[in-house]
Amino acid sequence: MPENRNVESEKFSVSAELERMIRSLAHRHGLPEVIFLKELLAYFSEGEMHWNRVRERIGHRMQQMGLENREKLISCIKAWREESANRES
Amino acid sequence: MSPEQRPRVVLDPVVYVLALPPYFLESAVTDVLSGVSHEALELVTSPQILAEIQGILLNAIGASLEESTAVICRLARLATLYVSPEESIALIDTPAVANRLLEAAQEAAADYIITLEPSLLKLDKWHGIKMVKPKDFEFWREEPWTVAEEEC
Repeated sequence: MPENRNVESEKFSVSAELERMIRSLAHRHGLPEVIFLKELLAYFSEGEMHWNRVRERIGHRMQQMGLENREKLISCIKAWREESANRES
Repeated sequence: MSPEQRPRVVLDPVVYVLALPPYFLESAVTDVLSGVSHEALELVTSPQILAEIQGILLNAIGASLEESTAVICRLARLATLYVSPEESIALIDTPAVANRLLEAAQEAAADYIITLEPSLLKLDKWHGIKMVKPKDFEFWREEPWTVAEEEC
């Protein structure tokens, strides 16, 4: 990725905006901000190592749920959406 | 390429989840994210889109809070444009998230929504925003960079 002043300043402002959005997500889910900020910090401090661990765990969960193909995953998402729509109505 | 010239894309949360490792069920999305990190595309996101992704991971896939948060932090960090739409759109009956995608795309003046949602694909084009399936999003594939799995 090319490095220049503009890109760097853009990254800085994106990070500030990101933190704001993460905080608003925490409120949306009614969850403590600290979990979001902890993950954000881990992501920035450990980078790919952190991400590799997370994706390994998520992959394992998908395997456990039997979501090994696109159709199964989509129908699982649809079922969840219908269930939550019914709950809200 | 200057940010003004880069096509702006909104990714459907379902498409993003389908692209997650290790399955890469929508490998085309991996390519899109690679295009974003190579500064050829602008990725738009919103609190509603991130919340939907987290909801899917937590409730449909059974991911933990920490895992789902790590995923959205990752995606939010990749995104180049954040919008908090003020205008509410009620064009699509179900799922509600389709309207949230339209709201984000309209607010960001996006060029594309990359989606598998039939109700959006049926619109084809709305307010100048083109609806495309991941596999049909060809714009940047002629570019010379190589696609790396870890970009997802």
